[in-house]
Amino acid sequence: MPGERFHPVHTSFKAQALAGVVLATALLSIAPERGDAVGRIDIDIGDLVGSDWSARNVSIALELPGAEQTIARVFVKQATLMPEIGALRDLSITCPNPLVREPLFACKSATVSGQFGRFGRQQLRASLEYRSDNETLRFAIDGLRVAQGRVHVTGQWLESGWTLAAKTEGLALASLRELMKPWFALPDDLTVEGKASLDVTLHGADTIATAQVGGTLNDVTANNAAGTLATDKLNVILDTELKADGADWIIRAKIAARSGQAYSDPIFLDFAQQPATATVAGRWIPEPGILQLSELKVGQKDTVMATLAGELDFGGEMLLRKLHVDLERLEFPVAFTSLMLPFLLDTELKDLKMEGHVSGVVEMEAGLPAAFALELHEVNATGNVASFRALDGQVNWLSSARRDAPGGAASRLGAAPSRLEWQGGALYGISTGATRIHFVTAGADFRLLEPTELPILDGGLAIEELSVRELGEPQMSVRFAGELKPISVTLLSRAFGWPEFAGTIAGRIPQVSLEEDVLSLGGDLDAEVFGGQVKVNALKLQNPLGDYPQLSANITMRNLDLEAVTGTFSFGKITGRLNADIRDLELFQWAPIKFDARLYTPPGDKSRHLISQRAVNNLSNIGGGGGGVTAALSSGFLRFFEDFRYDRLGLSCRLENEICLMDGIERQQGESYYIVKGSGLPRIDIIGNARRVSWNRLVSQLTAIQASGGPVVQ
Amino acid sequence: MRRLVPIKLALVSVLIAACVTINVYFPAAAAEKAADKIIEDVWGKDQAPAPTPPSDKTSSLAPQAGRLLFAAAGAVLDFVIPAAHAQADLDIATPEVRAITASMEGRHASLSKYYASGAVGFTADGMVEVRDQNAIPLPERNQARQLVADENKDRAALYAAIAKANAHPEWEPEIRDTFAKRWVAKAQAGWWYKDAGGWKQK
Repeated sequence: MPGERFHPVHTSFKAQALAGVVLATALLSIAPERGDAVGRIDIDIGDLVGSDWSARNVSIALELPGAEQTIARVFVKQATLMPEIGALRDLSITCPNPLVREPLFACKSATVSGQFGRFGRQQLRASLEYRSDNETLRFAIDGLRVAQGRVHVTGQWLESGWTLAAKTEGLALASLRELMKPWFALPDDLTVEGKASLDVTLHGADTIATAQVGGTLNDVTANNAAGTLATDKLNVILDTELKADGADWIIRAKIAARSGQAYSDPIFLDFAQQPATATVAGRWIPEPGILQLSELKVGQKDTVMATLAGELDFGGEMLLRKLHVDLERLEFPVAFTSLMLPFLLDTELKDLKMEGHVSGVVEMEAGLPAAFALELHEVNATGNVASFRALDGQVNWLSSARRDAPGGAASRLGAAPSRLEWQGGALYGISTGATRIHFVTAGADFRLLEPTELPILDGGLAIEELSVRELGEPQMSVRFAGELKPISVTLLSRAFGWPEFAGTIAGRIPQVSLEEDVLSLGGDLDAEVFGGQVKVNALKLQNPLGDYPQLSANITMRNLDLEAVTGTFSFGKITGRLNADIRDLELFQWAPIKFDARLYTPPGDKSRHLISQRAVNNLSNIGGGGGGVTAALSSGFLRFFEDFRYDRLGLSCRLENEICLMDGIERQQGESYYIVKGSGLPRIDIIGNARRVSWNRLVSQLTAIQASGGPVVQ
Repeated sequence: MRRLVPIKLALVSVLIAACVTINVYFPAAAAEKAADKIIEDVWGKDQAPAPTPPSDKTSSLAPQAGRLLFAAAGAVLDFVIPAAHAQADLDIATPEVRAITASMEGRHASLSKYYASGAVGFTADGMVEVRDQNAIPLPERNQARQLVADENKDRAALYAAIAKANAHPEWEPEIRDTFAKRWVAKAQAGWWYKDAGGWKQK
């Protein structure tokens, strides 16, 4: 027997051949010797070589320490079964009392040790049973140490096929990854730590027919170099079955995550807060790398319940070929903050807060949304600029590609008109009422189907027409026709925190345009305040949704009742009429930073012109007169007069760079100017001397005037 | 009539000679000063002192043909007109600049830890960028992205607002450029910045 060349065994599994052959050879060789008084027999087999396996320096030793006792030992200096595993060295198999009852050969409790290539030095317990009549083999291996964990393997080769099962416990993922490199490699820049305890069962005949993997992955912490993919102490429960179908694999899997966190740029999921489960049924087509999802049910606590179906193309350029999402429930605020907001961080919607829930259908094609039909249920949306309370309705949308596709869009998903209604809300801090709108939207277009009215305070904005085409594109166009129904200025000023004054604001808005983040209003807004007329035109709002809104406008006021104005602002009574021209007004964050304003008595005004002591005093302060005026007014004979007559008054301020360049109705001399030209007796002229006044000081002065009761004149 | 021609020519020559075009150049030194003032406001004054690199103020702008001539003209003008204009500060005391600076100052407390950890660094165009996501704990990653997006919006608004406040909206690129250098110059040791050669640690 020494030096015998062993002929290749034509079986699919080399280990079976080797184990069977070695065992049978060893056992057969000792059988005739039983009973002889021999203490030990050594058989040197030499090298065994198959087509793609080999075993060198094989020897068998038989020890017969006593009656009914046999110990068989097999030594292999070096063997190569699978090149990927590497060479097996110094393999030693010890089998006490081998069972030899042809055709049955068995060893119930063998010990195996040696250097097992990639799997390192191993010390195992094994049991083996081989039947030579039908060439079946059963074995179990215990004590295999792999990747810092334990593995228990059982296997059987029957005529009908083979089964290999491995129970693993506490495998270190980092080591397992190294071990698995010949068969399965993760991207190099991905670091993975954690433990796996998995049960793997493989069935097959010539090739693998089914694979079942179940168990847990614990404390998985993974990071890729770019930081776009990461997990932290993620715990996953797996139950997977793969079934071969020709070249394809049919997949059924259940995956649950109950703790840990995961981040896939830009989405962050905290499974301890919101545990998630996914159930998949699909087909994996290795060539060209397509995953067909016949059903993917996902559920995450307080977040989402949905069923997805579609096709993912891992081989091509476009991963998401098509996807149909049946949203049973998308729950805000969690779904919004964790699944939607991350995509909006660069937009003006970053501060949006959502409540309520949404259901419906979403379809995606070639990586892009193609259509959706969504139902809103009691949704509250609160943004920086606008908020909506109790939004209900249905929003249907389809992409421009789908809309323009031949065959008509009428019956398609997302083609039906949309309807939204809400119970109230706010716009720039002003409360708005219940509204209902009907509209159609597709691509970047939006069109209101019927006129609507948005109640604002006690009035409203009646919108007769509103359509937007190519929203956000350079060629965007907006068509708008509407009217501001009279709104009480008292309520408006209360909403803005201004001193309250009476009047209404109304006007026709023939045109609105939105270009490069500038919202412009065509037409004039008319207000009736203080018994006069106010016209606002060239109204523009820059960055309307952003952090730094900037408003510009021209305001013209005619024939305001000064008594009402001064009464409202506790300025001290002045009677008469007032015109005001405010050109190039610019507000930054709703505070004026620039304007050219002129307030003056209307030419030819016939009304009664009286100015009170307090008003004289306040106007003098603005003009730079200071405390001297108060002293002059409250002493001498002037103190007997409560009011003084005036001919006309006027004041102008050109604000720029926080400096107000002031002037009056006419120059007196040098830098001095008349603010009030008196008439009759006693005649009081108020002459301003301050030309350049700090705007902030002026504002604080005016605020102080409003807050104080004014000087007491006796 | 004929005799008048030479006189006319002479007059025209005098007029042409008298046509002086005065170009206003970007005041690099003043911009640097303004940038430093704003950076101090945003980051607080406890920043490590960063000496201004000894550089020729005008040379920081790309040299262009003809610039020397204008520089010479400028020098003559400086001599004739006391250098009040040349030394003028850049106006940064406008409500816009103040509001944006205040907003950035409020954000700095949240951002500075990311500068220190190397998660966020400064780019050559005066912005900030997420450099290393892995330096940010998972739950904070979106918050950090939000901070970076907001900061960049403010920075863009700031550069434009300064240019506008000084009635030269076209200076925005130079102001941005000046800021880009000063953010880095005043950054603490250990913070990261990106130049043509990639990310570097200060």
